Amino acid sequence: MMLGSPTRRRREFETLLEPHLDALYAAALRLTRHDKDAEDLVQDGVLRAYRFFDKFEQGTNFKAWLFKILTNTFINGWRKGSKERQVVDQAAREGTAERVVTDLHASGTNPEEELFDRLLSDDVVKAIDALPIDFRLAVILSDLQEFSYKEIAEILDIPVGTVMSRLFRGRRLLQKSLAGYARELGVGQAAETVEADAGEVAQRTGTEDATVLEFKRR
Amino acid sequence: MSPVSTVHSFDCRDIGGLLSAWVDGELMPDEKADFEAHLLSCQACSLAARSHVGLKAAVRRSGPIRKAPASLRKSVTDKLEVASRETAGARALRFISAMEPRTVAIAASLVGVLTWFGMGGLRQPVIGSVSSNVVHGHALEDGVALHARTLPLDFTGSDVGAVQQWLQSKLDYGVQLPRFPARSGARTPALQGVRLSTVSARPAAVVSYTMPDEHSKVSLVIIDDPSGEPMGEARQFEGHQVWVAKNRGFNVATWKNDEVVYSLISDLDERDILDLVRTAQLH
Repeated sequence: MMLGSPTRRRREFETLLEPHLDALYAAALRLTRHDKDAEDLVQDGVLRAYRFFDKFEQGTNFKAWLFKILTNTFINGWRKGSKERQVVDQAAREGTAERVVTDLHASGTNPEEELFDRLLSDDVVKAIDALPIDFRLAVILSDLQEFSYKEIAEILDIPVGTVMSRLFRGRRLLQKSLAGYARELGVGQAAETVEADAGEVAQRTGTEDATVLEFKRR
Repeated sequence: MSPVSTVHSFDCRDIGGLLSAWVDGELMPDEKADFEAHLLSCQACSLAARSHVGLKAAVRRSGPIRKAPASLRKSVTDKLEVASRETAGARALRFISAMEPRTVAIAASLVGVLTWFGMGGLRQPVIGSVSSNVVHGHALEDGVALHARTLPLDFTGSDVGAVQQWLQSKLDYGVQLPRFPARSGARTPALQGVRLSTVSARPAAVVSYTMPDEHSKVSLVIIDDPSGEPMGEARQFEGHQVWVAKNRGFNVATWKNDEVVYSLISDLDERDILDLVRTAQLH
């Protein structure tokens, strides 16, 4: 991108940044799970984006570009100082071994829509926060930020099939943990159904994206 | 349910990726049609799909529409200014080092003047004071992007009152859905339902309509946005002000009602979409 004076460059950057600052902060909150850390992450990400602003191709998706830098900043910073990666890797390995079978609903009723309707946002936020980071990133980018699979694939630098796989597995984990909250709410039958669904898994072999690859993405 | 459904050749065990793609509006039209046909014939997969829809809606509802705090905005502005100053300084040093010694004094003066212009005269930060046109421009783009995708509905219904009532239970601002009266010889959009969404970090609703020919669809994107005027050329219709814009090949007609912004987006041509707005009961 051709840029003029430093001041003009900064103002141009700020103008593009402004509409996305709330979204960046909202995503950073779910990534870091702490207000102060979220502010720090956004600041670091924004400064990094500013330093690389020359590389941004005008007319392309600035929001996706910002989120790519934000998530990279988060992953790189967090890999160095946190043990969370080990937990994630373990969860990812377990996820690879356990392929969810969707022959899940033996009962003739489906109270889950109503169940999810009754859950408090706080419960859902807690369940999202408890997801392993790879799944959490996919859910945040898809469900909270409404990025397309193609955009998420570019942001996270992973194939579209992996995006689908992580979203599906992340959501199954969410269903399982939300069933626990539902039980606390006293939605007994619904919770049992959901948990039974989430618990019905089959041992399958293959790579993470074996199922997804069978679905030919275009 | 049998593990492998013979209908439409779907293996119910491997439906996971498809479920996600379906609920996220990522299936190609033919894949979507096949998948939905399978859902009609397979109760278990249908239940799993409804469960996915419920879960995704719950996650979206939980999305914190929390504004970036003022402290963050100020900090970002300050740090960008410092970074900008450092860039200016580095450029000046490179410039000076390349000059003849006798011109350094003149160059230093020049740098001083440039720095004064750069840091003094144009000091107003953009963060927090960006024009509402920029915000509305991004809202327009987000709205059109939502229209372009075929996303599952959170609430299905053809009755305006029922859809509006459902919306009132989900949004924290009041909405007034337009009514499109039937007119002889004119096509009238048929209400399909609504999907909750987020547009420019604001809670939004996307109301879906189809046209009788089934080739065109119409979306009404609703966001609560008291700031400024919507994007587009302002026109007057039957006493209402409507802003007309074009984005990514779609025509957009926007009006405001009690600080709530309604954008009708369609691949209908401009004349047809304006005709819809002109004859609709907007308030």
